[in-house]
Formats: sequence, C-alpha cells, structure tokens
Amino acid sequence: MTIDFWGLGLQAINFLILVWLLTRVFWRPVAAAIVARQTAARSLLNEGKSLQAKADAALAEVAEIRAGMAAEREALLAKAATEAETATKAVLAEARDKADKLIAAAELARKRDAEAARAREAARSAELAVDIARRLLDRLPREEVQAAFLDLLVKALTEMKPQDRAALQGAREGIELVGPTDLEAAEQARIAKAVQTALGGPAKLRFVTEPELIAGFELRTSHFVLHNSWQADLDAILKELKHAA
Amino acid sequence: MDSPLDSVALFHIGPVAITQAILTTWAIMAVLVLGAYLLSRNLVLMPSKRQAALELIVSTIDIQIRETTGAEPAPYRGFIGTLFLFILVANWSSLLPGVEPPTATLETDAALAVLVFLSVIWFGVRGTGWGGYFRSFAAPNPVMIPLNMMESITRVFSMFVRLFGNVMSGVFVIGIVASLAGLLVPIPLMALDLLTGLVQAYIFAVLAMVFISATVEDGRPETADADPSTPSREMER
Amino acid sequence: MDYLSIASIFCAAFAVSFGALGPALAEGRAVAAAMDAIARQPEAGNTISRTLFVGLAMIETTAIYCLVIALLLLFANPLLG
Repeated sequence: MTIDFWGLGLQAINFLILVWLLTRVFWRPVAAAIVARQTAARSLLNEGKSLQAKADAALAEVAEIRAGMAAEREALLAKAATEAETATKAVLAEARDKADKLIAAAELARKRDAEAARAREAARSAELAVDIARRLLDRLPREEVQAAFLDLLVKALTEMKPQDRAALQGAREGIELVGPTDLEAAEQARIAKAVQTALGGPAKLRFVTEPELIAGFELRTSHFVLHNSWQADLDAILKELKHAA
Repeated sequence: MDSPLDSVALFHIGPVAITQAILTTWAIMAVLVLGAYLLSRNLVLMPSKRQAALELIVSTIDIQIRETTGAEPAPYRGFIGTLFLFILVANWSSLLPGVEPPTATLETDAALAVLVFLSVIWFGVRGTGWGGYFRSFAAPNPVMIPLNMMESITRVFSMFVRLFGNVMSGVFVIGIVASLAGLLVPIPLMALDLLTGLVQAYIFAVLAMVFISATVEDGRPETADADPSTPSREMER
Repeated sequence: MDYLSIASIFCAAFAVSFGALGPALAEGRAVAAAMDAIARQPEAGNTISRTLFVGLAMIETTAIYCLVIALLLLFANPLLG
C-alpha cells in the first residue's frame, strides 16, 4: 500500500477549489437570499404594523369627527331652539303689546264715550236742574225770592274789601244790574238804593233783563262779575258734579 | 483481484499520476459547481420550489452547525457544507455503473482529513489568534498538552480511516458479491451503501465542525467561563 | 505458500470475526437503548434516531478498522514483500 502524495495534494487542491467556487456561487448567495427575505418579511411586518396603527388613528379621528358632528348638531339644535324661543317670546310680547294697546285704545274710547255720556247726562241733569229750579221758583212768590237775593247781594257787597267796593263804585261805564225779569221803576229805585247803600256811595246803575238767571241779581262791570243767581248756583253745582265724576 | 488499497494511474500530468478517482472528483466538482450556479442563478424574494429546496439545504446545514456547536454558522458554512455535499455526492456516485467513488481511495480521504486538520488550525487562529490556538492544547489542563497534540493528529487520522474503510468496504463487498452472484443481488447492499454514505458524510462534516468549534472554544480567554475552577484559569496561573 | 501467508490469512479472518463481534453487541445495546428512549419519549424520536445513526456509524468504525487491518494483512502485508 502506498499513498501517492501528489495525488493527495491534487485532491486537496481540488477540494479547496470546490469550496471556493461553491462559496461563491452557492452558499453566499443562498444565505444572502434567506437573510434578504427575512429582512423583507420583517420590514413588511413592521410596515403592516405601522399601517395598522395609521388606520387605527384614522378610525379614531373619524370617530372623533363623528362625535364632533353630533356635538355640533346638538349645539345647532339648541341654538335653533333658543332662537325659536326668543322669536316666540318676541312675537308674544309684540302681540301682548298690541293687545295692550288695543285694550288701552278701547279703554280710552270707553272713557271718551263715558265722558260724552256723562257730559250728556250733565247737560240733561243741568236742564233738569234748571227745570226743577224754574218749577220750584214758580211755586214761590217772585218778589220774596228777589228780595232774598237782593239781601244776599247786599250782604256780598258789604263783605267785599273796601278798595274793591270803591273800584266797583267808581266803574266808569257803570254797573249792570242783571235780573230775570223786567222790573218796574219803583222796584228799580228801591233796588238801586239798596245797592248804593251797600256800596257806600252813588253808582251808575243799568238794569238788564236776562231770563236765563231764573232768579237773583248779578252785578257786572267790564272787569268784575258778582254772581248772585240760581243759574250761577246751578252752574257751580254742575261743575262740582263734573269734578266729582 | 485488485487491491482496494491501491489505485491505478491512468496517465500522468508532469509528476502527478491522474487516477480514476481524480477524474471522478473533477466530474463531481463540475456537476456541483455548474448545478449550484444554474440553480442559484436568479434568486428572488418570493422563492420558487427550486429556490426553496436550495434554501432548505443551506438552512439545514446552518441548523446542524448551530445545534452541534452552538456557534454562528456563517464563517463555517462554506467549508463544512462543501465537505458534506462533496462527500455525499462522491459516496453516492458509486450508484453509477462503472464509477468508483473517489472517497474509496486513500488519497482523497487523506486529502480531506489533512484539510480538516489545517482548517482546525485556520479557524482556531482566526478565532482567537495564535496564542488562543496554542492555549487550546492546554485544555482541560496543561498535563494534557502531549495527549492533545497526539489527539489532534489521531482524530483526523481516525476520520480518514473511518471514511475510507466505510466507503471502500461497501465498494469492495459489492464487487465481491457482484462477482459471485451477478445481477440484482448486490442491490440491497447498494441500498445499505446509500445509508452508509449519507451517515458517513454527515459524521465527517459534524466531526470537523466539532473539532473546529472545540479549538475555538478552548482557545478563548477565561472570560467565557466564570467558574474559578476552570482548567483554563489553572493554566493561566 | 509459506506459513507467513497462511498466518496472515488466518489473522485477517480472526481480526474481522472478532472485530465484528464487539461492534455487533454494542450496536445491539445501542439500538435497544434507543428504542427504550423512543418508547419513553416519542416526541424526541427524531433527535434520538439521528444520534443513534451517528453512534452506530461510530461503533461500526471499529469493525471497519478491523476490516482495514485484515485488508492490509491480505493485500499490503509488509512482511510478504
């Protein structure tokens, strides 16, 4: 048995060449392919994970937006409700105002009507009073009534202040003495005398007849009127009545 | 009957006698390199069946390296994988009629054993430096240095004889049976040879890997082992 | 044929026969132990059978050594020249 060392060396070299060639064309490329696929798979996995995270984020965003929309809708609804409420309130207030105005106008009209009615009533009551007074007067003796009124006139003149009396006495155009009926001369003289005595001096007297007085005497100058008649009394009563109403 | 221990030179190139084993080796090399080149020409990300088969081979060898030694397979993959593939194809080449496997000759197996011996040195020095390589002889303790030096030679010699004996005996037995009984009778023996060839290729590659990784591990400084009773620390003292 | 050749042939047969004995027993034990282990742990069957094959090959190597010695005696006996 012999070992051929040349053959041994040649086989060793052959095997080394085989190792070199196979490493170049087989081991390294295939291992690199395995590693490349592993890294690719890992990167794909990572990418998928990141994509999923992104999708989750988008989903959350959509949910958020949806919630925001709901909130906005609620806000809009609330706003619309408040607006409607205010509008209704405004309309109501307006209507109430209008109604109030209408009521006030009606009240005013009613008052005016009542006023007119009262005025009519007053006028009628005045006529009635005048009527009553005339009738009452008809029942009384005229001379006595006139005498009473003359007394009252005298009394009023005497109660006047002296300077007024003097002014009345000294009235240039004279004093009108108004009576309800035409007086006879005697009567006129008597009355003039009584007035002049009351005035404390002579005075120009003119007698005027006015049936509206019903009864009584009145003194009139251009500046001054002394009411002393039933008509004046009735007027005063009527005025008071109106005031009371 | 020819001696199975001798090989006949077909012709000479210079001083080198070209035997049939060398020719077969060249043919196997051509087949392996061309096949590997053609099969792994266009590797893509989505593997076809062909590429999946190639990757299965590579990942199987990686797994074996990782399981037997725990080392990262990348630096050893080329040498160990080629060792396994070459021995496997060479063993199985006896199936072709008229072809005697190159591993059934002394020269091829001796060359492989010598290469394993040199690769142990190469990887040991590359892994831990010359100091680390020489330190690996002192494991588990310095008393073992002569024994370890002897072992480093005898283990590769043992590998050499194991591979040669197994393959050669298969070929030899088949030859004897064929010469006695003729056709069809050697077929069960050839089937057994298939198994033997696979197991021998696997054993050869795994043993080479174990020797290499043992040298690299033993050559490491004591940082790898925290145990104070570690032999490497005793040696450091 | 001298005695040396006869002794060489005899020793070759002796080496192979006794070299086959030990590994045969050892392989029997190894396979029996492996079967036992697989029966206990069927899920570890892959690893066990792989280790079994490697171990069988290792054991067989001793028989192969004997065969190589026998072949050396027969075909490359240095004493026979």
